[in-house]
Amino acid sequence: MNMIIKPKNTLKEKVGDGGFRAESLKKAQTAIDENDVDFVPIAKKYLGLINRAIEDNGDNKNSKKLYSELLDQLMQLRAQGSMFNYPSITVTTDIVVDLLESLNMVDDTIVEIVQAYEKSAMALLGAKVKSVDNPVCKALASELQTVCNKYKAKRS
Amino acid sequence: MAYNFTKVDVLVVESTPEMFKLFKTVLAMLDVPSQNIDSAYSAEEGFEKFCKKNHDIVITDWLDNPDKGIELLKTIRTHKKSPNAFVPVIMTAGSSHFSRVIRSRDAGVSEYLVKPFAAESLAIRITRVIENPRDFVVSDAYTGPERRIRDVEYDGDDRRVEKQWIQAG
Repeated sequence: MNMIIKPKNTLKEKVGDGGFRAESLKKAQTAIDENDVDFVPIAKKYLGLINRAIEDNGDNKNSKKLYSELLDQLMQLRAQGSMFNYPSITVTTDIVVDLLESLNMVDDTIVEIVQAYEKSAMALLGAKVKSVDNPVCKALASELQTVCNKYKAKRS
Repeated sequence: MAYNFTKVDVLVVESTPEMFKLFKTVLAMLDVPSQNIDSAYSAEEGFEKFCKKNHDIVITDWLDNPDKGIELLKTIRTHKKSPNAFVPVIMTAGSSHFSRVIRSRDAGVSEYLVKPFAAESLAIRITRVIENPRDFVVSDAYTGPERRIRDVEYDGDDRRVEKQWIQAG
């Protein structure tokens, strides 16, 4: 049986009318843009978890577990990079996340791509490359994209 | 005149203290009092806190494997201990892949927010759950907001087997 329920909108009753103040929105965006969280140790933690997941899976490179573990860490890196002043990490990670999400599996080649990505990300963090306009970031992202495109073309 | 959040409690379920802190700061700038914003770092902790306080909005990350954020969402919607199965839940994730959005929708999400996010994107989603809450479907297979988001005129047959309108609350 399907029931359609119209819940009482207590949230609306509590907040009233008027929306968000433009000034509040501006301040909220400034809080994002100017936060001083040090992303490097956070990113290194996630990259370490990627390495560990690969090591723990040994030769079983096509497991569902490995796929999920890799994607978990990659999604966090993609999400948090730009939030914590490292859009370079978000942009490079996005390429790998996009590949994994489109496949729903991993194999030896994917693991190699993820390992190459991990090295690229470590290089960006080591050199404190934050901007996506930095030539190093551009070059690494371009290389990753090329490898991912080749893999996709091979599979299709 | 603007929204008044002084009586609104928000639960933020995040993967790291840093992300929670950022959410808290952004929400505080959007005029949600800091003391009204609670943290949790797992689906279990999130549900426990939600049961205790019955927050008005839940913002949850996708969290870890296997899709703990989705689990939390389903628990809020269907568990007999849930104090409010209709609470607005905003799912956040570091992927905008179609399959992930659909899975969130099918688990009963109110809004989906891709991270990294802009303050305005968060504000838009909060505004939607305030101003345009969707009716709820309760069935054996699904409990959550109606999944047809757009208000499109449909003049065909209504093929739902049985329909009951209930004014809840």
